[in-house]
Amino acid sequence: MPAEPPAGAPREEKARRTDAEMLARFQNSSKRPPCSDTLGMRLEAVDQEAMALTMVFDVSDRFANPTGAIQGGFITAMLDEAMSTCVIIASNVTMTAPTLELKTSYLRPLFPGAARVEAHIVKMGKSAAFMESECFDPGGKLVAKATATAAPKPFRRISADTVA
Amino acid sequence: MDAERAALDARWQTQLTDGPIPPASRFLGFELIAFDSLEGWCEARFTASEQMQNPGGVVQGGFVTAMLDEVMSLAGAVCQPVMSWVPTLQLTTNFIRPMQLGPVLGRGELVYTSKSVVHTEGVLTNEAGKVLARGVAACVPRPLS
Repeated sequence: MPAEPPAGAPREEKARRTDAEMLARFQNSSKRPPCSDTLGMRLEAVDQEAMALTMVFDVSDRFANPTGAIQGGFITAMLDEAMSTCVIIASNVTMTAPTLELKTSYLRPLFPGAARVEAHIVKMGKSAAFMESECFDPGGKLVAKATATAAPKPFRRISADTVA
Repeated sequence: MDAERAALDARWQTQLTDGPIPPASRFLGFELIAFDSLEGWCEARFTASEQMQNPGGVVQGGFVTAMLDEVMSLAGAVCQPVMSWVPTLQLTTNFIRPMQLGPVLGRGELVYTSKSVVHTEGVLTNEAGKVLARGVAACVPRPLS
C-alpha cells in the first residue's frame, strides 16, 4: 500500500514504478548515502506488493570485534539499512523513516565476507511503520533477526548542519 | 578491593588503553574514559564520522547501536570474576535524538549478572549532555581461556 503524500504537498502522487524500475533506481543512484557505501550494500530484489526487499552486503573486516566476528551493532546497521529502505520504497520514495526503536537478536556469529538481509514491512501507517528483518550468512544460516518501529516523514535530503 | 580484582582491573586497563584496538572499536573512534568493576560501569568517548551518515545527514541507527554495544558489553565484562567477554544475545535501542557527526559520550552499566546471564543498559549523550540513544541488552558471560 503506497503511503499518501504529506498533507498540503504541492505535487500529486508520483506514478508507481515497477519493481524492476525501483530496483534500477536504487542500483544506479549517484546519490548513495555514505552509510550504504560503508556497509558495502547492494539492493538485490524488491517486491513492492509484499513490501519486502533483499539486500546483500560486503561485510568489511573493519567491523570485527576481538574474536574476529562482526560486532553486533554493525549487523544491526545492515538490518536497519534494509528496514529503512523498505519504508522509503513503500512510500514510492516520498517518505523517509527515522527509526524510533530497534531490537536485534543475535543468533550466530557473522564473520567478515558476505551477508544477505531480507526485510519486510509488517504495517505501514501514516505516523508509524513496523518492520521485520533477518540476516543470513553465506551458508544461508540465520545470523540475526530484528524488529523496528519508525516514524515516516516527508523525504528530503538534508545536510547535517540543518538538522534541528 | 582484593588483589585478584585489582589485577583483573589492571589487565582490562592495559587492554583498553595500550593493547591493539579491535577493528570495530577503531571504526567507532573508541577511547576509554574510565570503568569501575565493582560498581559495574564503563564510560568511553566515540567519534561519529562521515562514513556513518544516512541520507538525512545524521548517523545511521546501526552505528549508534554499535557504540552502545561497546560500552554495554564492557560494563558487563569488566565486572566478571575472571577475564571474560560477554557476547550479546539481544539488544534494543531507543533512538531519542538524531546523532550529528562529532564526539559522542557513552556509558554502559551492569544491571544484573550471574554465571549464565548478564543484563546491561547504556546511554549515549552529545557534548551538550543531551541524550541521543538508550540501550538495553541481555548477554552471556564467556570466560576467556
